[in-house]
Amino acid sequence: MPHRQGTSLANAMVGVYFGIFAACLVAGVVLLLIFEQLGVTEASLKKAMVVISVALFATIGASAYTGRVREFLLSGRRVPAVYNGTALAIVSLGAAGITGLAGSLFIAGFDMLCIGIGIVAGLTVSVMLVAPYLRKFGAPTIPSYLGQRFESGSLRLLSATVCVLPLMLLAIAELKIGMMSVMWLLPIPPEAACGLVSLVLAATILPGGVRSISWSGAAQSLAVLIAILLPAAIAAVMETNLPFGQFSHGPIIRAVGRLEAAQDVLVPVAGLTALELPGAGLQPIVGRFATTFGSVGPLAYVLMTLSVLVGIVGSPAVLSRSVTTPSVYDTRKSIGWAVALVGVLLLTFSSVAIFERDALVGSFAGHAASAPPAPLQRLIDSGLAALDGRGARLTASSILFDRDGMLVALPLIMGMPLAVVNLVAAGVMAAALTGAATSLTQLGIMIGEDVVVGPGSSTASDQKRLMACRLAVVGAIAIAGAGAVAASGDPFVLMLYAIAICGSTIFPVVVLSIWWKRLTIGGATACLLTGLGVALAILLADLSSLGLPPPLAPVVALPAALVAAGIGSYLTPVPGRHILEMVRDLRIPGGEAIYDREMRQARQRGPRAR
Amino acid sequence: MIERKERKPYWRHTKWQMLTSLLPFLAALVVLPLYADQLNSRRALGFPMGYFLACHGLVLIAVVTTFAYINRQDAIDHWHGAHEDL
Repeated sequence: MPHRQGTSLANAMVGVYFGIFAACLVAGVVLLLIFEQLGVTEASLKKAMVVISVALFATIGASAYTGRVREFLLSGRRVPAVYNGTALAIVSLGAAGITGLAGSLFIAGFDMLCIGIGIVAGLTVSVMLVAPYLRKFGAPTIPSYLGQRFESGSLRLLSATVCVLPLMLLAIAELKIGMMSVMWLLPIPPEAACGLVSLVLAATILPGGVRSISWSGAAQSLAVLIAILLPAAIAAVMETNLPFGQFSHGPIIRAVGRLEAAQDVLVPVAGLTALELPGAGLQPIVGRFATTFGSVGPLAYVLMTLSVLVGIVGSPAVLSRSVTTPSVYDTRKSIGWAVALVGVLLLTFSSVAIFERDALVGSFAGHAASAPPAPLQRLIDSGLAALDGRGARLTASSILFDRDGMLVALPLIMGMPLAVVNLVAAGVMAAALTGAATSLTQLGIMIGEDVVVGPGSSTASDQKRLMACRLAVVGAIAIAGAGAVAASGDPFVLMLYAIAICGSTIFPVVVLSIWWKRLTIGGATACLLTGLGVALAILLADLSSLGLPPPLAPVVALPAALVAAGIGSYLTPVPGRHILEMVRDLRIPGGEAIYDREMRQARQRGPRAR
Repeated sequence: MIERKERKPYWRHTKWQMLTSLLPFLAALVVLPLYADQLNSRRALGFPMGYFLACHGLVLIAVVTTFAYINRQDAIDHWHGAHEDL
């Protein structure tokens, strides 16, 4: 079994370890619940929640220290499908996606499903088109894959340059949400919150690279699932008497529809290509929950779904999580798990949004603005809602809600104990740490392996390669941290921009490199440059008035990149025999990983033969 | 290990499997939400039907498509001897 050489399966006790982690987390929350009843102050309970979660994640990350390159870059390719799939689900959504999607569903209702469904569909398409083939190739980064697939150092550098942009945008978006969640729990300024998140990231990435983030990421993802599903189940029991609100909130939707009609909630009608996403900060509900195409037009809805789909398939952060499993079959299975989990989370977000609307819209009828009902008052006290100050009576349009805070708002609205509110905030922080760690690790490995060490990575010493990657990770954390503090952008929009760039550049070149043997270096270069150029032009010029909002950039950039790839390939000579043989091998799951084979052969040839 | 002469039939089989999984899924992804408004006046398991199909329906279709694809592709790998020796 040559392809298993040097690979050992994951520790058989790993399930027990994660069971202990989940038990510790739940025990910590129950302990804080007891302390809350005993009269411990709110500030102390919040500090304890931060200490418990940060200590658990940092310990797991630090205990996964490694001095081996294979472990640092690929986690030894031995992360079991279920743990990989759990982390993949959280990384593909990201903390920006989790908070942004939950809040957008509450504010705009049905129309925001296009983004969530796009993410689920992206993972489904990835299992068919890309991920298993990249696992067979076995390269740790997209530039390494493209560089070896086309035997071109310049393409490796170009693709690294292209990948830096979406990865940095994703890292900044995740850090901003991480800072926000820390500031929910600790009364510290943004700079201090960013410093704390950056320190935790350094502690979870630097010891073992991908090995560290694989295991700490699986633990963080478990914490995210507990933090989202547990309060949602409690709210579902309170609203429907059943714990599975995802499947039982139908009658509540109809009840909320009647309440919304009584409260004169607007029924806007969007133009065919209109795409109005709820922004960051405080804003009112824009329409009735189940009413379709109020803020997103029918054509824009479909195009947004497809744009997010291609962006998720091409996301380097998502693809990097697909190559750490023991086999191609495990990669497929792990994405299957991710599809199921993202699907459950999407249904949870829509049920959370409808429970919140039911509790809020049903409570403020007839109330004076000076005396809001208890659920609303709790949100106002915590800064997650505000009144616009117009009119003596409360109406749907006079109450403003914080989009990114609507997930944390659920336990507050339902009157759950403070320990549950803190659990959700810690869950959002865990999601931000997972997402940021994945993007920053990819950035560090890409800069270390593909740019600094470059084509000499096959013969460079392990110490040199590890040092280059670790220094690059530190640099990436510093730049992303500074960006998160300085940039005033909306994290959800930054995430959508990153997805749009991935769908316009990396998606076409990676898909064609697997499914079209005739693609040449010239074609791949033209594809990347055209996709990036058109996408950036659309993102920076903001052509919303022409019916092309920035998140829909792949609608134009992707076809342009495909045409450029075709023209570039037919204008350049057919790929050589070795490359064609490599592509044929890439399509067969069995056999040794191509990256391992090429690196071994390069080492055998020695530095002079390069 | 796959035999050399089996490579082409294997890849043809894989391409057909991909197309027959991907195209109906994409068709559902595009068509279902467009009829949500008309279908919302009917009920499905207590939900407005348009919302139910565009949310729960598409998630279910994605999960079933993914696991069916994984199962079938694994069978194709074994049929042609392209699977991994684990």
